[in-house]
Amino acid sequence: MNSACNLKIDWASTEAAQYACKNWHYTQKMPNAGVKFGIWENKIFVGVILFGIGAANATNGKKYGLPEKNAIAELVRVAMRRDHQTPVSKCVSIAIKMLKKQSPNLRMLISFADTEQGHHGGIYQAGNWIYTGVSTSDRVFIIKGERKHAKTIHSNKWVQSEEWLKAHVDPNAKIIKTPGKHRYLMPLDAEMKERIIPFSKPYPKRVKDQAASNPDALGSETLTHTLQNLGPTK
Amino acid sequence: MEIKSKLVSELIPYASNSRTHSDAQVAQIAASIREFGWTNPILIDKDNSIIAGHGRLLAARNLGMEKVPTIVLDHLSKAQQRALVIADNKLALNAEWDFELLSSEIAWLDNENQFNLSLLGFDETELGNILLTNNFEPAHEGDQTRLDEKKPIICPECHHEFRV
Repeated sequence: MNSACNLKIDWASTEAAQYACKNWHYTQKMPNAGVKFGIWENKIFVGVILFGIGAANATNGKKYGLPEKNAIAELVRVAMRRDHQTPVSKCVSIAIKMLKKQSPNLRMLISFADTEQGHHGGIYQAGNWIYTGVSTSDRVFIIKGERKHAKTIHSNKWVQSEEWLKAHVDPNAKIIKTPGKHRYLMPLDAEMKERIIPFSKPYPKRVKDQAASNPDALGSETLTHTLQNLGPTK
Repeated sequence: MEIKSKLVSELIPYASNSRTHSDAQVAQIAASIREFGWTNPILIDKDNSIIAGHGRLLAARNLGMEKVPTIVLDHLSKAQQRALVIADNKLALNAEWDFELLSSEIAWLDNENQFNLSLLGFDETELGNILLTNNFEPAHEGDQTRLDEKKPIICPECHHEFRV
């Protein structure tokens, strides 16, 4: 990190978050996010960290011994400029502290690293998140060339069937099965940490490192700018 | 390619040069030469007629310089020479800015070096607009939603309020 870099993490507007997601994240999309943090280096806006309530199955507290939702939030997006100077994990760490003050009843955060993009979750590992394995595989709907999740299909009142979608929405509609994502948890208090430690598994390796020991394991490796720029060596 | 130092008084501006230089722009070039030194010699033909660098010659005169660095291009036909007078200007104009990087570079010069930004050639309005490019201001905590509270939802049918 450049020691001269003047870092500021503050609340971000929806407009700023949309801009960062569109320009600096591989999906080019902004997810639902209730809390948006912006990152400024030397007064220049360089990215956002977004938190939301996440998908119901991901943030359902029962799995972790919590009575209901609203105790778990999801880190839904980190979108930063390619040339940012501060390590992502440091920005995330500061954002989490601010989030705890803003939503003090949260007990835990969850986030996912996209295995389809070759991500292993370096920012979470650098921030000592607890790795709990790969989530169950999901279905994605390809409608008019765009990937849609089941939630979108449901909210459009469409039927989650390839035949139905081909007949009513797009003759080329397809349903594809996606691999699961690496799941990471960050407890926000000591008692929660005790509760989720039993779920802990060894951190997955980077795709490159896996490939070195097993070249056949090399898959897609299109890292986001953010994930390419990990750690204090940046 | 040899750089030759020539007397300012020896150089002959090309009478049909279609590129114009305002006094303000000549002053900018002079300031640039003062700050950075000579970084771009004047291009001339074997008869000392200027092919490229009319603005630099005017700036040198303003600065009271007696000699300027030149490069003699003696391999060009007359047509190539007249074409280069135009192309040297027009080709540079065809480049575009990456405003995100430009904004970042200028901010670095400004914040970390207190560099005199007027030397870059942009006027104050342009500089202001460039520095504002994609540079969002912080929002307010009130713009955010609490994630640890259930949201009230009212049923559009029965108007019953429940929380999810």
